[in-house]
Order: sequence, then structure tokens, then C-alpha cells
Amino acid sequence: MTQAQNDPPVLVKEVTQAQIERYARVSGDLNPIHLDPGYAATTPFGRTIAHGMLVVGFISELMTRRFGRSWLESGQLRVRFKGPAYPGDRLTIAAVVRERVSLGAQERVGFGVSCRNQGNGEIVVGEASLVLSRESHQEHHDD
Amino acid sequence: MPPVERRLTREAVAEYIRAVEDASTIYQTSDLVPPTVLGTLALGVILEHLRIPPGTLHGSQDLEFKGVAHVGQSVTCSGRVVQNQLRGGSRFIAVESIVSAGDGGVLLRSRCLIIVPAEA
Repeated sequence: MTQAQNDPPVLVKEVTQAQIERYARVSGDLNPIHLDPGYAATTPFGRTIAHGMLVVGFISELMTRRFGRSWLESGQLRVRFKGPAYPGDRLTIAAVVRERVSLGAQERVGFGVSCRNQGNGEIVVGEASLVLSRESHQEHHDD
Repeated sequence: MPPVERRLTREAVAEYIRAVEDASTIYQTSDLVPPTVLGTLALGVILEHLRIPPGTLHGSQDLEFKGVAHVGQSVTCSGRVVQNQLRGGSRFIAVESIVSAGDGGVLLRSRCLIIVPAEA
């Protein structure tokens, strides 16, 4: 198993205000910083921003598309929100293998994860990990 | 904060997947629920309980998936404030949450840091 084999391909997502509004409805997070351009204009961000958990959903999608059920059963994610994601932003979500810890027949594989905008600005940084079988590596590829 | 029970209805899970535009095939071919649905639920319960004011920001988020959730399942979310600190004119509140299945098995452990603006 090489690092290249375990690095999920990057995921590119475009944020829209309509998507933010859908996420606000489903999450119940109706904070006007996400929904009200007038209010958002009074904040340091100047305009509406995406929910942090929406971006977390993008990272989880990346890991799910690469590792399938293994991510759902054993995934761990620790992220810090570094900058706002605005409507119209094109986000690139990436995960790079950083370490492997043996668990006998399995191993916990650790990744550095990031989400950057079209200007390479940091939106989210952090770490992810999950447990994979050493033999099968529980391969799952959506792509 | 008191435990809150929610049912992961097919409609609500589908609406979440549409909202985040998650194209993972596993959700199209099974009744598995994206684990971030549970994270979203946990955060929603926190925000509702704490009556978070406008302008509150999300500083960090930890999620630990302990088991899969299925469409139609009922889950219980409980949480507790583990940090409540005024710093630099903002209030930093950390909350740890657990989302459990009906049999008590833990599905998700989470910790979030929210930052409440000074004037709130």
C-alpha cells in the first residue's frame, strides 16, 4: 500500500447561497450570518458565509467516496475553521496520508485534511483517521 | 443539557444529502445515514439549547464515528458544556456531545467550540 494509493482524490465543491439555505433548513441553524446579506454586511465577513458543518460534510464525503463503510464505522475528524467559505467559492478538499498505526490485522491510517478556496486560502484544516484492514485495505472507490 | 430524541426519517436524511450535495454511492445503494447527519444533529441541539445569538462562529469541530446509523432509526443526543470562557472580548464555549442508538450504543462522540461575539 503506497501513500498515493491511500490518498483520496481531491473533491471540488462549489458553494452557492441556495445550498447554504438548504443546509440552514435541514440543520436548523438559521444564524443570519449565513442567510441575511444585510446582517452579514455588518460583520467582519461582509457577506454571508457557509456553515462550518457544511464544509465538514464535504470532507466526510471525500472520505466516504474513498473508504466507504470503513469511514462511517471508524472515522475520526478533528478540524479547525480558519476562514469563511463564501457563496461562489470553489473549494478543493484534500486528504493526505500522514501516518499508519498498527492494530494487528488492521491499522489506523491518519490523514492531514484541508479545504481551500480558489485563491488557495485556508478554509478548514485538520486531521482525519480511520481503521482499515491491512490485507484488503477495504478498498472502496466511487470515482 | 437534557437528552433530545430524534428519528432519522428518510425525508430528513435525503434532504441532508441534497443540501450538502453528497454524491457518495453508498447512500444511494443502502439505508446508511451519513455520519455528519449525527454531527449536524448534535450541533443543532447545542445551538437550540444555548440559544446562541446571531453572529456566533464555529471555531472547531471533532467527530468520532463509533457506529453506523440507519434510515428510520431513532437516536438520542446528549451534551454538556465543558468550557465557558471569556477571552479577548468573545465567549468561547466548548460542548461535548454523544449521539446514541435506541439500545444505548454510542454512534457518535463530538466536541465543538463555538465563539459568541462580545456584544451578545
